Amino acid sequence: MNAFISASIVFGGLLVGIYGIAVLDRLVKLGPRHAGNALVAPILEAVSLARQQDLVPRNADGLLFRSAPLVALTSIALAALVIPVGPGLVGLDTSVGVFYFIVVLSPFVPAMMNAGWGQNAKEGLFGAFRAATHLLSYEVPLGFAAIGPVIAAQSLSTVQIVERQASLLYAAWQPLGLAIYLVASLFMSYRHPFDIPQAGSELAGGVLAEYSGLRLLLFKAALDGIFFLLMAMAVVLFFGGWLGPLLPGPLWFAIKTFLLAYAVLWLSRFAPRLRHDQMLSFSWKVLIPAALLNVLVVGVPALFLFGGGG
Amino acid sequence: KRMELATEPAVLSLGPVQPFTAGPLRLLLIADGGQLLSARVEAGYAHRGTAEAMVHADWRQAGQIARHLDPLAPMAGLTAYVRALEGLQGRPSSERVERVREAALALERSQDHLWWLTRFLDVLGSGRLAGAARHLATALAGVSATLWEQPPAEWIAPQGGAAPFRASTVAEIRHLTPEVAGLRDRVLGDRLLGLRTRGIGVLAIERLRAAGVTGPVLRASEHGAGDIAARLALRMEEAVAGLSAVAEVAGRPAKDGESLPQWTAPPGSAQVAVEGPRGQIALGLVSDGGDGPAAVSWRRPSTALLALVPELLAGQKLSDAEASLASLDLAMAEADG
Repeated sequence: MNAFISASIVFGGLLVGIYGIAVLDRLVKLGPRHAGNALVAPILEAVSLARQQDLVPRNADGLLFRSAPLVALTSIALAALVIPVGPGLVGLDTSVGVFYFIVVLSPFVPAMMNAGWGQNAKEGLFGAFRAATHLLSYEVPLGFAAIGPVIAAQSLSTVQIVERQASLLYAAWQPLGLAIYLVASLFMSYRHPFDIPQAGSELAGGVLAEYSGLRLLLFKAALDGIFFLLMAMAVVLFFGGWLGPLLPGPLWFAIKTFLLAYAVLWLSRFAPRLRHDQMLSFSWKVLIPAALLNVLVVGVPALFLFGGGG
Repeated sequence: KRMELATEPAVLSLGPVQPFTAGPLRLLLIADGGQLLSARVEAGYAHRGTAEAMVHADWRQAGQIARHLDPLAPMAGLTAYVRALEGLQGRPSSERVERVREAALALERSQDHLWWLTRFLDVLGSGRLAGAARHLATALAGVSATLWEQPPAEWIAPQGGAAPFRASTVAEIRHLTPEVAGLRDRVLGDRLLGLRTRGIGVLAIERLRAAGVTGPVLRASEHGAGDIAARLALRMEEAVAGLSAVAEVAGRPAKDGESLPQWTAPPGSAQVAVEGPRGQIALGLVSDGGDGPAAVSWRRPSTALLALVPELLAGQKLSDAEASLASLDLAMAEADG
């Protein structure tokens, strides 16, 4: 029963996070003068999509097409379990939290590919292959960037990583790792400027082109949800999670997460949308070498501090 | 022996509503994976029969229609018409009036370049720069609007005077010029934008000349690499230079006591070309001495560019197609006539 209640609370928090990201996304695009519009628009869009007819294209692969949004949403719901929002407030306090998070989020990319492949449409197929390039682009840099805080904390537990930042936030001495993590997060969540699988009018929506109604709503929620989770994990890994003076821990956690999400969304609008070959080139020629350098920069001091034994 | 994987080309339909052209244009792209093999253009959706409509109007009404030759550049269409009519009458307007007309045309070109920049950056998803471009384009549109507050027939008409730019208009242009120059520097200094536009959509100068292309696309190939980045740089430079010229010319007095507009023409024919935002709008008028033009012909800058679209796209990446097309600044209503 306790597990059910904690899972329900985590899912509720995830829904709030999804709504928050949808609001921030509009706020960044429309500007602060349209804050009211940004607050209401996601609700209206959700209601509108929920009322829309849910169409499945002719000759589509029914299983892949129907399951893709559920797989995407399930993977982020499971990943949300290891995000600690306050002292003792975590759905699943496991000793391999960071590893679990990255592994459980991995089906998100295959879900996008299944969505593109399963709809039996050219636009979706092109989108599926573009989505596949993301898999090659983000996985390694994201993993290496997350290694920095793990080395520093000598633990894969998300709770312990937060607790070890009580004296100094990892963002203060691992800025390179933070930058790599945030860029890889944009890759992984298909956000601008890495949104080519579903953006660009030459593909009319790409992997989401044939989705409508509730399934499209689920997919959009999953896309906002994965970005929210990645920002939440960035707060855990680099910004001390719930730690902060005066205010309650969960409030600090929410403030940090949404501020970081807003900053990343705002900064991402400075860059034009990149082609998939440019993304791959950027990932392999810039992000991965920088991530390896970051491991060295963090690992050497950690070796002297902890003696390599933990 | 080199082995090749057998692939099946896909036909992708783009449009007819496009975010990067003013007016409808449908494209059928034949792609082998992410590589474009060829493209087919379907145009004509926005055909309005402008020349035919002018033939059925009197001289004054035809001027109103001429404003819509290129709906995005009404000043260019009207100036071309008025100059052609003055050519028929055998009395060109004074140098001072011509100077003011050129200033108004330069203002229109600068404003159009900024609207193009807004659309182009939106296509690339460069939201911050697009927002800045939109802000300046809107401000310039407000400045241009002051010119149209008087009936155009009073200030841009055959043998008519040219109303001077208001002092407040000139002050506003002087205020906006450094801001546009700042935007130019931001755009041209953006390394990611350079990465996304350099070496893509190259058009050879010989091919452009053979196709009869004029305007910024031709000049970008004459003075630059002829790629998207060159077109972007050229339009930005021209926008700033145009505004600087307007601020200088428009400050001088313009009314020099011209007579009332003359909306008649003796039998004959006249040809003129006016530099619009997309290239030269060439207009030919034939008069039989009647109330209106007996025949009208005009050359549309976007039509020449449209003919080059298939060869521009062939061999390019699918994800570059939009940016390449957007860099041409096609106005479909103008192209379709």
